[in-house]
Amino acid sequence: MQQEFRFFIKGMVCHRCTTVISRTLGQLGITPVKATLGEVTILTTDSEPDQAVIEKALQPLGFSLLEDRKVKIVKEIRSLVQQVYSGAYDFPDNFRFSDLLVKQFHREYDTLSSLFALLEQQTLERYIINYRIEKVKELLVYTGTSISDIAFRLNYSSVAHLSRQFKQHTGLTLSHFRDIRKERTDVVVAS
Amino acid sequence: MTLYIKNMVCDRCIMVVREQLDEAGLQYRNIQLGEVELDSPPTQDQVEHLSVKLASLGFEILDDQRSALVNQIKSTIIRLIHNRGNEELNKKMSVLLSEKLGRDYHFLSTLFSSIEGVTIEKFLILQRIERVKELLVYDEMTLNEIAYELGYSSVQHLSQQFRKVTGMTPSEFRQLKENRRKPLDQV
Repeated sequence: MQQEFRFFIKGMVCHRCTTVISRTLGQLGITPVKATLGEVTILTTDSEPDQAVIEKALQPLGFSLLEDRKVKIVKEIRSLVQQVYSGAYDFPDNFRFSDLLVKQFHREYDTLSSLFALLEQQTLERYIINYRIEKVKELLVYTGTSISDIAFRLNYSSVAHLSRQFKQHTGLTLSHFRDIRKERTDVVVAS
Repeated sequence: MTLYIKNMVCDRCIMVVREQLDEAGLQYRNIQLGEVELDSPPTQDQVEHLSVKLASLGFEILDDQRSALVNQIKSTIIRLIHNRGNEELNKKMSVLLSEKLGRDYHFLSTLFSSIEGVTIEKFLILQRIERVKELLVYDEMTLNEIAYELGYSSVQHLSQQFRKVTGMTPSEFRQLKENRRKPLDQV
């Protein structure tokens, strides 16, 4: 089945750019259905065209694919989350993840979080909560860390907050979870 | 022998023009925005042929001195705003133009206004706003960063100017989905 696929291209400023891009894509056997400044739509039978090939063809012309940058930013956000909630992060007073994000990326929080939501199909908040809960499970089962220590290491304001969030997301209480997992040590914790 | 070509705005334009010259078998020393330096004067036939070819791509060969000079002013501004080397950011446009073109700024500005119907300043603003639009569409920089990048004294100044030219605020513009940008040669 044929479907449309849209690229965002950086560096296009005039009609010659559009012409040159159409021609270059044509040489790759790709026919654009629509090409405007900064945006090219193609028809493809594959599930997804090979972006690396296209990027490589466009680069000598002075263009680059925009999507790549966005994907890269989202990847960096994910790795920041993983770094912060690794269980070994030294949280400053009044720590807020959004502040850290803004400081690291020099972009507004709204911009970053909507970009994340757009590409990941889940909000950044949701991703962070999931990641933290999984981390709680990991620490709980594989290390002998106490619950109050876990709460501290993952920057929950209190044990009560941690318990409540855990219950809300897993439907289980913390201690119940620990007990049933201890009986089934062969179960691998999902990342 | 130098040919002056209207509507060249980027490296792709240069590339396309180069292809046409090669095809026509014309030898050239140098090609830059708006200008081609030929090794030897072309025949009338060659010029006409090239002119038709270039016209189909949206270019135009300028044969009168005054339009050629106006075109040079435009190319200088476009190069400065869109394909910038940073070193020239601090200079005033008027100083820069008279240096580059070896003419008195007053002369250039009067000539530009009389042929184009807008002042150089206005043209510069339009080009700059077009660049702001481009950067806004990429969604990679905050408005703050864009203002700094393009040498605006403050975000407020940028927003005000943007509003004046486009009739909407930068954030309203961000929410538009279609037809957001103009080709630079049609600004």
